Amino acid sequence: MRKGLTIGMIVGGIALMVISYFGLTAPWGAESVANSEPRLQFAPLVFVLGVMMAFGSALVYEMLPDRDED
Amino acid sequence: MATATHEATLPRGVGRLTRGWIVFVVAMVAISALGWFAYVREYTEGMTVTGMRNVGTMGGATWGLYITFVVYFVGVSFAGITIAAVIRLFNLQTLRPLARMAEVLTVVSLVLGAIAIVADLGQPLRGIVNLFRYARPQSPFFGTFTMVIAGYLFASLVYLWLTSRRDASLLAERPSRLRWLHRFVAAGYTDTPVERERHSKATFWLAVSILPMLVVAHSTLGFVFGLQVGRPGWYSALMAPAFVVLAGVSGTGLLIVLAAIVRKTMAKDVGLTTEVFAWLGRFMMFLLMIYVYFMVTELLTATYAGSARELQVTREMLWGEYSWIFWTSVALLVVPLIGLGFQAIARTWNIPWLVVAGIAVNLGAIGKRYLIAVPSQTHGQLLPYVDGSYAPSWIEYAVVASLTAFGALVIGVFMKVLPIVEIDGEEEVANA
Repeated sequence: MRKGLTIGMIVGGIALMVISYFGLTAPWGAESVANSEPRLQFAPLVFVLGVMMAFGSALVYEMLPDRDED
Repeated sequence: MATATHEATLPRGVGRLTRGWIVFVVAMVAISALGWFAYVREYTEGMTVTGMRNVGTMGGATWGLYITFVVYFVGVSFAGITIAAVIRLFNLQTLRPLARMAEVLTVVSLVLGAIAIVADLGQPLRGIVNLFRYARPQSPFFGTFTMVIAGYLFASLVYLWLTSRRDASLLAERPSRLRWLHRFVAAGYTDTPVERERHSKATFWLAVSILPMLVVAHSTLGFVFGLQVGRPGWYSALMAPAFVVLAGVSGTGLLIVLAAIVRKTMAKDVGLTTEVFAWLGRFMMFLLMIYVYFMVTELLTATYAGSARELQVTREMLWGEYSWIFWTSVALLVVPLIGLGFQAIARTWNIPWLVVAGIAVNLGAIGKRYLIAVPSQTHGQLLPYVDGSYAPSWIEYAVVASLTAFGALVIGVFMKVLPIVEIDGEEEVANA
């Protein structure tokens, strides 16, 4: 449970980063106005949440008790 | 004069309020308050109370002292977390007394860097909200605020908390007015073999993931300047690596100063031996050598094959308006390097001299950061504007001084709340 949640947070965090960076923020390029318009507003915030989720997994790994310890 | 309560029995001076510490806190609070007053004036009256003006049309610089200190503070954080992570990754027991203070230095300097950015924004709320709303991933600013301010700060906070839990749990065993706080920080940690093993794994992997991220993060900050093709003096492939290296120099220098203060103020020997300072001295010397090499390479390239505007910016730095800052900064970096070299050859390390070198390289680093930010704006226009000038106003000096004081205050308070040097074992609490 603890390890599963930790790995889930790391994978989920990285997924959020990748999806927001490549899919939700403004597309790369300088050809049109669309390159300045995020595909989803606050997409950079999603990226930040992904970073925090990935690093927050360390808290879960260390602080969440194992089921057999309860 | 220390408070004669249970706190007197806590190790590392935790909870003991001495007269000197109270005077220090009052002084730092006073300077911080002055800066706050200055910032309120800036916020209510507008950026016109600062020395910053539009580039070109108003002959000024829009990035001045605040941005200089953003880069400086973020730079200081680099060495802190690097050294802390390296100590844990390679289990360098001799340097272990440095780990906690390096972590604290990182967190505090990152927070100061973030506040300095806010001070630079005329409308801070608009800036913060719009960064989260619209930031473009191809802009170096995206990396700066997502990786440096959000990711790097959060990761460092997690790291600091996890590495502080054991000490907090040891302190929570003793009665004191801070017991509730120690229990909160310990968050149920009881120092069993299972918990120790888990903690060791978690901090190892955190350190492994923080190290590459911080190189990326610091490079991104360098790219904010280095990728601007239309700004002579900034556009350079060396900008990012030089940022990282000078960051290491200033951070190590500040860590030397902090370690010397802790060594002086602690009643007991906490393991901050001459060997520890020698390691820091060698590390700083190595980084200084690389930085001086980068600096000479950059200057040679700019003066030998630079464009006309590139040459003008360099000329202003070497012989013009900014020459006193340039040559003073060079002296503040090169003289300590020579001194460190002599000590390394003689294999004798003098701690007071290392402290002087640590302060000197930090002043030199601030000067170099200023020279990166300002001259290119006042003398590096590609459009036909006359050369400009920039002089910080008292508002900017007050805000920057207050940020520094606030940082010192936070570290000073931390030292009275949690051990700034890790506790060796349970017996130390019992015997303190």
